[in-house]
Amino acid sequence: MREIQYQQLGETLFEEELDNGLRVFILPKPSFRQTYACFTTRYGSIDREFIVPGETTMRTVPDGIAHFLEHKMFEEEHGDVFMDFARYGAQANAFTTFDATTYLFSCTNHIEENLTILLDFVQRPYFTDENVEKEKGIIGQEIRMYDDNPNWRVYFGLLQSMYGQHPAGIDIAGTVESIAKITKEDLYDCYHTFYHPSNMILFIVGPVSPQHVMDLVVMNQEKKNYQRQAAIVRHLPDLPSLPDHPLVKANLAVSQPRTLFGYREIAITNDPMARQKHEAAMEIWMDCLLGKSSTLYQSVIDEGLADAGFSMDYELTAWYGHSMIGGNSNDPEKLRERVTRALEEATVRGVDPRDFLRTKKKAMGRFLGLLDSPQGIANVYASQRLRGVDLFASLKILEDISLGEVNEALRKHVVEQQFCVSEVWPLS
Amino acid sequence: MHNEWINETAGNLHIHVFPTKKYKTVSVLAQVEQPLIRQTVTATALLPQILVRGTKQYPVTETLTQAFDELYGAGLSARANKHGDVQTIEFTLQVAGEEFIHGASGLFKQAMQLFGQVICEPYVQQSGFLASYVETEKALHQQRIENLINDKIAYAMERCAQIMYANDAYGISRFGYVEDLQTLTPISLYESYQKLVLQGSLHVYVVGPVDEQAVKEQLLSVFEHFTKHSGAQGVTMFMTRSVPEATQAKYIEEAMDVNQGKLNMGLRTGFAFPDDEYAALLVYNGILGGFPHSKLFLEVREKESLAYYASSRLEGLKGSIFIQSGIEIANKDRTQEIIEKQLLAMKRGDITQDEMRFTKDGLLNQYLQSDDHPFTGAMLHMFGRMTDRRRSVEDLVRDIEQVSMDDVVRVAQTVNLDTTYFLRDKEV
Repeated sequence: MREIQYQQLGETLFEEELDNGLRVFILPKPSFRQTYACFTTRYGSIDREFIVPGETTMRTVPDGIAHFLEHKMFEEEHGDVFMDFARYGAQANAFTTFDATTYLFSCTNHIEENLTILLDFVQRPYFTDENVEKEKGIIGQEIRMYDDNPNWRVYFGLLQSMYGQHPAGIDIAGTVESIAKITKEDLYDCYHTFYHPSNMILFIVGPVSPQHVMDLVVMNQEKKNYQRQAAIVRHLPDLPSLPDHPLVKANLAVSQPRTLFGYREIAITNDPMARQKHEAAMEIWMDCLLGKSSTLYQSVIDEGLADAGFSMDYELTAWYGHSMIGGNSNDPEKLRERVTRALEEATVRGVDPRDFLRTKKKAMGRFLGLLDSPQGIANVYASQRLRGVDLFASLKILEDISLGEVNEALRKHVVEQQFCVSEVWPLS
Repeated sequence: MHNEWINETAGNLHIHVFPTKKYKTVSVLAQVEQPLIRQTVTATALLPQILVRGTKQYPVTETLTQAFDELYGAGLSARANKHGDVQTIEFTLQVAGEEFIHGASGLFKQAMQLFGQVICEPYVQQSGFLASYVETEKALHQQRIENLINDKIAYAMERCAQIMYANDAYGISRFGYVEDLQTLTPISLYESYQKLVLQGSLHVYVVGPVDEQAVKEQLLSVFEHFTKHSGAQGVTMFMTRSVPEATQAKYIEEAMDVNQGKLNMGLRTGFAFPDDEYAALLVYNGILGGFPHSKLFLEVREKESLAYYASSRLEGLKGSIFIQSGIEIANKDRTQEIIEKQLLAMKRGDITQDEMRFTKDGLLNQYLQSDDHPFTGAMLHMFGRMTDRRRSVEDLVRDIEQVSMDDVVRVAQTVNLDTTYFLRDKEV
């Protein structure tokens, strides 16, 4: 077991890669009451084309299957996994993103039992024709719920605008039609391809003894006799070089228009360290130019073009990346004009050095806030680690980043041809 | 083990400090309170938006926000809230712990001074707030009220409570009303501010890596104004109780262009936070719909596949329970029937030992985990003030442990369905 000390942060992380390839991370937090654990596989909604182990040709599975599988893992031959966790006083859940599926629990008691339940249910699939059919009604209602949600609709509208029919533009849950096609055989194929321990991470944070927890995990895994698995062959189609369509609009029962817009990232790289630095640089200029203390933020609010929810976000993976900017607006077009003009001007004159220094300090302070949330650290650490990135290196990266790097990220990103727009309007 | 709050009162200022190395950030909550009444609700809801716009020292919003950012991103928030029949303004501040950042000594003191200015020294011109700030914030607040329909889950819940409490303070909207907004002026709002904030009591909670003595001195100096006045009224007397009435249950249906129907039900119970039966009420709600092992989740979702979510939530201060689910519109009658069957089962004592045990353990887990959140102690302290019944996390844990099946069934006899609200599509 490797011990990594982050002296400035006052944290120590314990890490080990087991014989079957599972990577285990333990972060002791002796003064917290809860233990939070997440078991995450590098498998999400974009993984729809791959080779099933033992086969030779690519298979394409229905959209929404990673999320469907996540739901179905909670059913076992002996019954409902939520009951097993309830028996030991734990709260359990799971979620699926574009590139990962996470199973988690938190508890204040019976840590060993709950950890064993987590490891066992995720490593023991049980699908029947009947339980697969039953789930279609439940997930159908989950999809309907999101259909009525303007935030989700405008978010997905922007992804559609950027990526069209590419998996990065497809709803994580799929559609009522796509999930109707899912069979138990499909689920087993996905399971056997993506749930091998070598494709997964276990992260545990709480008042635990690292050696004791590690021993428990090692023994649990040894009993299961996993054989090493060859690297997964997955195929993600190339991104279209330009946005699918520049504007996506929808109408919903809302009182005010809502908009999101942004640029697709051109600087896509396979190097995780470069990605982490690039992300930090992006976040800094976005906060400088669009954040709550920027001139632009206050002026779009005072001019009635946005409300306090106006915000921005940036996402970067090895396959795609994009910025998202916006919120509620009575005049989405005018808001967009104001923002893009400000960004284009900034590419010429660069970010104000005082804004740069202030925002850098802010990002460092905010990072400490994340460390006070066991759930926050575990989820972010695990998902970033699967992308090859070390969350705890963030503070150092922020300290070292230069104004030049920030300006370069800005200039590379703000490219008119990569600009996309999504709008949700009230029904007329 | 955790009763280490240090309390001190000086005039209308009440200081509560909890020094702990558990967190890497310091969290501060400062709160003023008043009874929730129609005459003042709208002005009070608007005040926090205006107070964060500018102070005597930093009249320009952008500069004020930058001053907070400069302090390693000290996070300021100010919002009006509703707790039972009480309306509050809650100011929060989150600051990085000085010891974790090089060269950040004095950070907390500076952040507290700025925080104090937002509360005590707003930007004033000719005995009123700045007219342009008031105008902008009124327009934004009107939109905020109108936007309540955008989130259908929250909207249906709010409508159900409003209908159920139509003749009671609790039925008053937490944001206030558009028609009342029109009557507010820079001068009238400043008068409301003087009355509510400057002449009221201020409770300040500080949790995190701080020195007790230094913090106390800082608070006494930053909030000196409150120490010079005394005699502000407490809020205990304003709480009303939710007495079950034998009146006819109401059914209200509203139509909007939605994909999914939202079925909400409001229940009155005979008990609330101040009562000895409160712990049994918590267990009642937990068995009914608080967990994935609860009756509502199992019967509505798992057995019948009617919904993605089906749960109940206890409003402890009022002693009422709100059930919510999102369903296919055509399935309304069937869902309603299944939910009512569960209420009947609770009354009949049709509860298994597992349901009892799982629910008690689940509640214990929730309360113990809540101790990992810096403001839990503050919330319980506030509820104590409002109801004249003090309860710590430890008290709740002990009380929940002692709840018996008979206690739950006794509570069940006082539960009556009051309001059923259904948000559905428009008929063509």
